Amino acid sequence: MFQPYRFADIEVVEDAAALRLEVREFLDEWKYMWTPWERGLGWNRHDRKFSEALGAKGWIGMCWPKKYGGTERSMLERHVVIEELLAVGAPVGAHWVSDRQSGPLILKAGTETQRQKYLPEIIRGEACFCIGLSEPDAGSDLASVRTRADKVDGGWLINGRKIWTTNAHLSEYIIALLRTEGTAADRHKGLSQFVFSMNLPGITIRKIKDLTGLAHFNEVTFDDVFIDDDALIGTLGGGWAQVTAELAFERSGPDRYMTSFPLLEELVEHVNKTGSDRMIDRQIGAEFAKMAVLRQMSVSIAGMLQEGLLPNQEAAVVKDLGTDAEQRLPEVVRSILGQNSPLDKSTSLTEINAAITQTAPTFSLRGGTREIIRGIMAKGLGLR
Amino acid sequence: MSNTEISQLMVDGLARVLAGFADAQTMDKIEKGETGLGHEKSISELGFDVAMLSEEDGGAGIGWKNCAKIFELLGYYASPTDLGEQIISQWASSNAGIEINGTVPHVALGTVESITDGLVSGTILVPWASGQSFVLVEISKQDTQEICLIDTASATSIAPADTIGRVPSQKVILANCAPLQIGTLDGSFGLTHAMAFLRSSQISGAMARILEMTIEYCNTRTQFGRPIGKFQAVQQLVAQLAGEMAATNAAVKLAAMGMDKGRGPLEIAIAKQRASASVALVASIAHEAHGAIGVTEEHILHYFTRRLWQWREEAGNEHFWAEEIGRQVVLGGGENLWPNLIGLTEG
Ligand SMILES: Cc1cc2nc3c(=O)[nH]c(=O)nc-3n(C[C@H](O)[C@H](O)[C@H](O)COP(=O)(O)OP(=O)(O)OC[C@H]3O[C@@H](n4cnc5c(N)ncnc54)[C@H](O)[C@@H]3O)c2cc1C
Repeated sequence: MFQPYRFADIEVVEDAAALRLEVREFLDEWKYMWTPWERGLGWNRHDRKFSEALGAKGWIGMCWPKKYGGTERSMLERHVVIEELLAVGAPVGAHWVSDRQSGPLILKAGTETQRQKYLPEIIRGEACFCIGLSEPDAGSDLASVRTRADKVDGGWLINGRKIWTTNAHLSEYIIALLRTEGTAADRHKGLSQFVFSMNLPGITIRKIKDLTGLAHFNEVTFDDVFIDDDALIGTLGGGWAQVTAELAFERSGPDRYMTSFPLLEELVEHVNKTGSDRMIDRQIGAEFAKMAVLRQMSVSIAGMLQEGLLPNQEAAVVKDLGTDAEQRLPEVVRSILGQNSPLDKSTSLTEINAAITQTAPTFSLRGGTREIIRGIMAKGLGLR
Repeated sequence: MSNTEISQLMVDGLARVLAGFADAQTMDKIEKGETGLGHEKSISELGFDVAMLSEEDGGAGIGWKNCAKIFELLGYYASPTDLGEQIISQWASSNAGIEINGTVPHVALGTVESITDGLVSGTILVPWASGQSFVLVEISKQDTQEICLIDTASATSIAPADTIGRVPSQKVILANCAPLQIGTLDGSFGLTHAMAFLRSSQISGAMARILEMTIEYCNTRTQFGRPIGKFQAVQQLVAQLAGEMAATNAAVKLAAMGMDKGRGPLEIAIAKQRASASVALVASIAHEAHGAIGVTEEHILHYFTRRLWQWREEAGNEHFWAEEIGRQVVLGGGENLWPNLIGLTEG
């Protein structure tokens, strides 16, 4: 039978229940502090204290080698922890990118010195990383990156501009994709990745407010920024292949379908209290089924990562279906509530809905747009 | 040999047989109820109807997850016989202690009521039935999963039923009919759920076939001097189709793994809801990509899309199951939502 996807059958990890309980107990001490609006803002929300507390529990970089401070737990155990965090809308922004992609990239492509330097700090929850990919003229077309790193004595000199850099203003470090050879016309060739501090002279960070009025992302300008030779991560000129692998980490997690989960929880609670009817049951049932199936696929992807497979196509499927489900949820809420003010902070349901309604458009942009993801899927299916 | 290995051998054997009856002409004849094509004999000779019986009972005891592969394969070949129903029938009869003498009973879609003790009434659809036959039917009851064996000779009326799926079917009306036997299914789910699982799996398999066909067509049909699969608009559609197929596959797996662990009703409800809900988009995209040729009688696509439209309704459509799921979820309240979701795989 034709089967383009490999979603593996995953049996539950032995001590998942115990770990889950431990995470829930931990979260019980925090979650009462977050307003519905905050929980609605999702996993970008930066709270260093929270990340440090989580780090102290051993729940950041938990699959990494012990010699860097990790606990060498499985990808499935990590999945347990991160989905518990997402389910309550925890403020994981201070370590999310580090744990999800920067750390794994350093582990995979970095030198021993880089691993020793960055990984323990990430694991402690002290190192926020930002992703330096997008530029004003390089969005979906990432290969047209222009920001340059030019070779000078003992290091590199960076000039150019990155944009939409989430949490750059709160980050200790950046991993940036830079042009080390040729021009934007050379596309994938001559791109390299560098890891360095965000506090270097010549870096200017300008916050960009989004339509919620908050500033999560930034424009980052590099003006003759000098970085050492050992800032190069992986191979010189090998940046494109590395970024492709990094994006697979970025796209494969439960954060691609769970952003609106706290909203579904509020909705169910509201309906439970105020009374349901057949049509409401149907809408909620359909969303629950969607989420259950997405979770099944997400767990399967974690299992595949654990087995060392590269589930890029499977991750694209979950991102496409998952962001669609996340985005539709506020509309489901509206249909069930009927007439209500769009920015009503009088109930936790309407408050969280206001936050998600306004952030929902980003779900299918960040991490690669819906159209780009579907293009990747089509290519994987053999359409060309 | 492990169950998985056994079921793989079964799947391979079945695929070889089904491939021989997979052309549009043969499928047309099957839908018209023609006999003598040899498909029924070749498939029944495999003896797979006992797949879900335990080894002591002469079966293969392969479990639901492996069985789903057989059901999916049936969907992939548009199910030229009622092998899926037979597997369910054998499993249910054995499980509920209903004795089968001779032919394996058909399985009814729909339930009957038992108001007067020992007698049942209701209207059922019996796929693949013609003439007089024996049928297993679920008796609609709270808290117990009763089924009964009916001889349709004692029905008030039997009439051939037209369906979109077009396989030979009957509409049977029972009024205070005395069943031959009554039994109770031991386990977490009843006959309608088992049929919902079968239909979900068939939908999943048929979608895999539809996706495969659509990709092939897009890579060969040329317009504006290039294969239509090169057009982004078409690529985006096919990607969406693939996503819905993948979700349906995953939904079936979720249910099967739960059933093998002694859970079931909620997992099956989710599978059938998700599978049925995917049908509209999958069928419309497949037809859109195939253009006019795809809606012709001659083309093979409609044998699959018509099955999808039929199967999504049978054993509860997406709205029926969504309501069922939603009722439970709402009852649990907000604080149980997440534990309920986790419980589907870790319960
Ligand atoms: C909240 C948020 C946070 C982000 N954080 C970061 C970050 O931390 N670091 C970072 O580097 N970037 C980040 N991004 C940027 C993100 O990766 C880009 O927005 C995304 O890649 C799209 O690029 P763009 O915005 O320039 O849109 P464009 O590429 O200009 O796309 C605009 C539209 O054109 C479509 N389009 C473009 N090319 C094609 C094509 N070939 N085929 C079909 N359609 C096409 C797109 O799908 C889209 O609909 C973030 C974005 C958001 C919204």
